[in-house]
Amino acid sequence: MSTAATSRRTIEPAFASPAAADYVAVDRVRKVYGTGTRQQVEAVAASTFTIKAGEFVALLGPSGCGKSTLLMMIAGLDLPSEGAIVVAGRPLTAPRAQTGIMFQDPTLLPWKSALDNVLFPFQVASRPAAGGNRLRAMALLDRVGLEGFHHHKPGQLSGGMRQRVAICRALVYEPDLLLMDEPFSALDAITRDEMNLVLMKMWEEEKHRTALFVTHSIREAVYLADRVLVMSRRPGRIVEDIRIPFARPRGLEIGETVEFNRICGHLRGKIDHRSH
Amino acid sequence: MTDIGLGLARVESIDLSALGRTAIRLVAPPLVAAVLLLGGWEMLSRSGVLSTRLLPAPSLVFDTLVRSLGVLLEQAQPTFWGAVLGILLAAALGIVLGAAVSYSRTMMQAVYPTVVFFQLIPKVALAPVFLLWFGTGFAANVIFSVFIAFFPVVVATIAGLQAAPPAYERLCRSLMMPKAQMFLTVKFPFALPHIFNGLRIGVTFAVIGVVLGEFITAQTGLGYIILFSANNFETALLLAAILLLCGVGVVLFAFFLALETIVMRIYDSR
Repeated sequence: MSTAATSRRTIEPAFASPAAADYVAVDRVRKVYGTGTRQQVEAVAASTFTIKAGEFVALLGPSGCGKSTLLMMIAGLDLPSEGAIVVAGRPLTAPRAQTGIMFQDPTLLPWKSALDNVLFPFQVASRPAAGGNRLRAMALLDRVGLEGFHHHKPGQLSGGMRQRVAICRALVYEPDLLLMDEPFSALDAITRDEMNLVLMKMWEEEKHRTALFVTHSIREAVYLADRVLVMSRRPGRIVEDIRIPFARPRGLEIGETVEFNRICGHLRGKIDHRSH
Repeated sequence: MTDIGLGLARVESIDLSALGRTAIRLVAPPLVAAVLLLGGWEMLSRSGVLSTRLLPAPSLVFDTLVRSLGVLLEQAQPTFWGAVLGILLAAALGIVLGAAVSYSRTMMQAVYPTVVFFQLIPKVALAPVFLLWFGTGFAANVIFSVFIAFFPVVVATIAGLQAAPPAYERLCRSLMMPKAQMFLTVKFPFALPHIFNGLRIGVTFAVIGVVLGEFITAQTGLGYIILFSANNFETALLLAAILLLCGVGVVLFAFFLALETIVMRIYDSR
């Protein structure tokens, strides 16, 4: 009885927190693929949620639930079939300059060095290329632990190192919104823990950046995020929205705490529950 | 100090002998096979089993090559330059059309079936039509060469421009990179190995095209020499001309291989 009561108190619904500025607002967004009534597949069922400025939100769900589709729509790479997305006060219709993105694949250009890959976003003419870019790119590579690898090509780097380069590339033009689509899911468990630490460190050092991290790993979501949204199986809808109470900076050891595992258990229950 | 020097020397000598052994292993088998083949052929010709008129001995072919080198080299020139122009124009046209077709889905849907259809036509069958359209000059041979060499290049370019994984396109779109720039900086480099494969096939096709043109127009070139010597039962001259034709092919092939090596060094992933 008392455990249940404590649990209800600590696993606090996100909407109970005082309202800060909504940075990302997803309003009744629905995504349907295919035309004609027979071939239509509903990837995302009407979903509504907001992300506050400076918040790190994890979007957790089983594979194929439409969470990546939702992220692509927030990136402006895909358009909702219904509903609207507002980012930084503006309705989203196309990719925006101040969004950084990471994919499951590091998508590095194999013929470019790590440093040149980090500088790749500045090849776009519309992005102001300041003189300090190169220095910032090198500093970022050093901070993710790639000092001495600036001139290595992706083929000479391990999978984890490649994703470190991709983190730097996503951060180099100082985006205010960072979108990550299962960036570490192709890595082994040990490398994945390392990458979580690296990402956490980078995010905690670069203040006031809003982040959305899509994952199917419950532990990864709880470790990284301020808030976890749970998406149901296809057609995906948001079935849970909780705040993660751990203070920052967080070390990997919080994963050993009873509290951490209790939250994970709670989320697991939400994922397995089929709501129809 | 001495120790280090000795160590280095030892490593070097081991590497060299290993390199030598690899070279021998690579070169020896084809060399032995070629010597056996030519030796057997020479013996059969000399013993009279093979008629000189049908298959002259290699030594006779070589003799003829040396004696008629002046004429043969003169006739090799239109063939060589025709093939050079043919493959260069075919490469330019093929890459440009391949890129244009890949640029938009509508273009792809509109043009690709026609390209495939034309590729299925036995192009030799169209040679007389080309004769009709472009006459019997050097230009006609070049045009026919372009026509034949063009298809492998365009098909390889189209295939290559689809080689970049879709995630790269998403990355470029998220960075708000213009489509044309994405094409040049991402898709084209990914397509390069495919394009060079197409060019290698195209080079051999370009030579075939020129020789076919020379067969039909019968004015100049190694193709003409081959036809002429066959009509006069000068088989040794015919084989000498074919040998020179191989030389033309090898030179062109080597040029594109060198180009590929240089370009791929820029786009090297190592």
